[in-house]
Amino acid sequence: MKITRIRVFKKDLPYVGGSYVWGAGNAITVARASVVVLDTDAGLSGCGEFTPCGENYMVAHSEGVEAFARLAASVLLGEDPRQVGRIEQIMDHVVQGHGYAKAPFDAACWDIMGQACDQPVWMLLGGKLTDGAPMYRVAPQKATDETVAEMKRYRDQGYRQFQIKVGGDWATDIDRIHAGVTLLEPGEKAMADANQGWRVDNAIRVARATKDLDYILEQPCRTYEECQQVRRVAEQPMKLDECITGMTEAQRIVADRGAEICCLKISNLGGLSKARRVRDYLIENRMPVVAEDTWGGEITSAAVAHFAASTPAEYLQNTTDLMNYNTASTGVGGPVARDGHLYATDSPGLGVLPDFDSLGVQVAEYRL
Amino acid sequence: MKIARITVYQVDLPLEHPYWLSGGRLKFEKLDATFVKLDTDEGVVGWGEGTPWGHTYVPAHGPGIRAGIETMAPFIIGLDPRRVLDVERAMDLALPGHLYAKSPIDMACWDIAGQTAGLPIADLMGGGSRTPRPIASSVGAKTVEETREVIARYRARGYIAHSVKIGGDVARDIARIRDVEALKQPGDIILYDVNRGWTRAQALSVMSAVEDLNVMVEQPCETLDDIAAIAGRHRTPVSVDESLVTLQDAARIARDGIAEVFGIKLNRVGGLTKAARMRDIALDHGIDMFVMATGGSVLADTEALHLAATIPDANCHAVWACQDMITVDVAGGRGPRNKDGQLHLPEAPGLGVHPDEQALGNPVAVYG
Repeated sequence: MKITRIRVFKKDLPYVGGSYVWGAGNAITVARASVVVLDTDAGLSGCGEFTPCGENYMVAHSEGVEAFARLAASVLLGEDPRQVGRIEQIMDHVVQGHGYAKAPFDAACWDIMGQACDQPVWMLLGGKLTDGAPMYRVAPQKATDETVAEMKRYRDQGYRQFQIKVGGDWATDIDRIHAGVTLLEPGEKAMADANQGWRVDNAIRVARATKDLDYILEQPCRTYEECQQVRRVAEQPMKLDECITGMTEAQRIVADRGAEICCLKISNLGGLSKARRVRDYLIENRMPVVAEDTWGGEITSAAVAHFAASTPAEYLQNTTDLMNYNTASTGVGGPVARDGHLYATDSPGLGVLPDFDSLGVQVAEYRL
Repeated sequence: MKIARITVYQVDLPLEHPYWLSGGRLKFEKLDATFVKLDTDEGVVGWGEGTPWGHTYVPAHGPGIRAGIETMAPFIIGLDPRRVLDVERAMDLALPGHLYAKSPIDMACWDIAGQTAGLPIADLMGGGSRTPRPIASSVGAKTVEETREVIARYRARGYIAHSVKIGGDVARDIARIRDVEALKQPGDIILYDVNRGWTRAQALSVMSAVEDLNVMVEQPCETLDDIAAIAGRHRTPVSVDESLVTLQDAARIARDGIAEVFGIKLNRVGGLTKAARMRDIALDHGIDMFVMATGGSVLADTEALHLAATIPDANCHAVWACQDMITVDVAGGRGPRNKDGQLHLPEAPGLGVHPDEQALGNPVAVYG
């Protein structure tokens, strides 16, 4: 089987809630999806997607996918997409780094391999170890009675984990954490996610002021070293996210026992092939993970759902139904969110097709 | 003063001779150069260049530069280019990482700042030495005999600094080092550049076999972890090149004593503004420097020369003139040129050399 055509599509995905605020002073209203579609001489096609949470969220921007395609297309055309390991090597040889730009190519190859052997991607990744991955919701920041009512609605839908967005003014953040955590019911979990937004000294202040509360402190500061500096003082379990960019970082975290939970964003790790190795390594070392991605539509969500489904339930903290965060789509089909859980499809491959009506005309096309 | 327009050009710079690095692992035939023109509302024009050494050498590639500029352009237009720190911050907020995409913008801003101040960039940065900087040769030969011939050829042209590319075969590396050292002349500066080609064991084998010669080795292994792991087990002074990317890398190398020399490559580290901070860390820790472009035309060579001129003569080993290796001259013979193996700092305000716009073809993108 050979790759005979590579197409790249761009699609703006507006946020369902208007403006999504994260970290210190960042907000997005629209995310830019880059979708890669691979066609083969066997009649099978595969798709993959990379969508950053705004172009400046991480060392990853949507334009980078097209730029990578320009260099990679000529060497990928003619290759067998089912040989995902070989494709990974070729991509790493043609361009170093830029894993986020490689991720959609990698996903499209897994999609084709799954279809070629008539199995869902979760089967190829080791099987279904979680049937329905738990999801979290961002806790609303409204008047208390409104917040209570909204959290009850989420609870009724099956959600048991709530994320409190912080990372701005540290003094206000202390109040937010108090307000959010005190509304929890027994068995529920809260994460306070600063998205790298605090200075170390302020993060320490927040941790101290909230030490009587049971919640998970998430990526308080920019770098791994800064987070460790906070960790020496903070008693809360720590979840690291943005600074986990590959196996080297994962090995360092395990060696240092530098976190209690690791958030694995598939694109930040360079695609499903690499993310899966990092996940397996962390779980070998009894480190729970979050299976997710930076942002995305149905195609990204499909990859996330298969990744989550093939993660042992005991070590899967949660996942996200990214496709429900947008008012536009990248794919048709894909995973289903039900009762606070995300279910991967059982159809062959990723189980999602590109939504060509939504994606419009390709921005780049390469043929064998 | 405001940046009114950003014009981007792409030019292929063919290498006179195909070039191998790292024991034949990497081959290069042409360089993909990006030239950036910044127009200001006051008529002053600044030029920048970003030319990675191919796209397989480090995580940097030509299309990636142009994709990065596409993402950053809206955040840069309207800024005062003389306020290089404002521009740097805007770029870092608009696009985390991707330092190599930022360097041409940074360079063009320094060019404008220098022209406006009526000073060469080096003087604007605090003072440029007029002592000509020796140009390091690039001895990409294979056998002992070829190495001799290539060095002799460079020597005849006045070169005293030589970067001898080794790696790939321990016995051959030892033989070549022994031969080069036997023919070394007083005043010669010789650097054995491994370009990451050795494993830890190979590095220790070669280093112990030539310990009596007191040679200097550049980037012996793949990562800083590798170089750090063998640091206490040999007596060879080490220069770090590819692994020196961020200021954090520089701080780690200096603090942990991983190397004695920095090889600062301007495109890789994100331009003059960021490189100047590395220079200061180096000087504060008794670390000497090589300063070079990653590749490119006389513009890129000149940018590196300005930074080199701000380093005390005794601490700056050599620069480089990639201009001698390419068959296209975009600046019609202008700018600092190789004179007897040395480059002389230009006295014209700003960068001191601009390209012929006709030599660049049509712009590939215009913003603003």
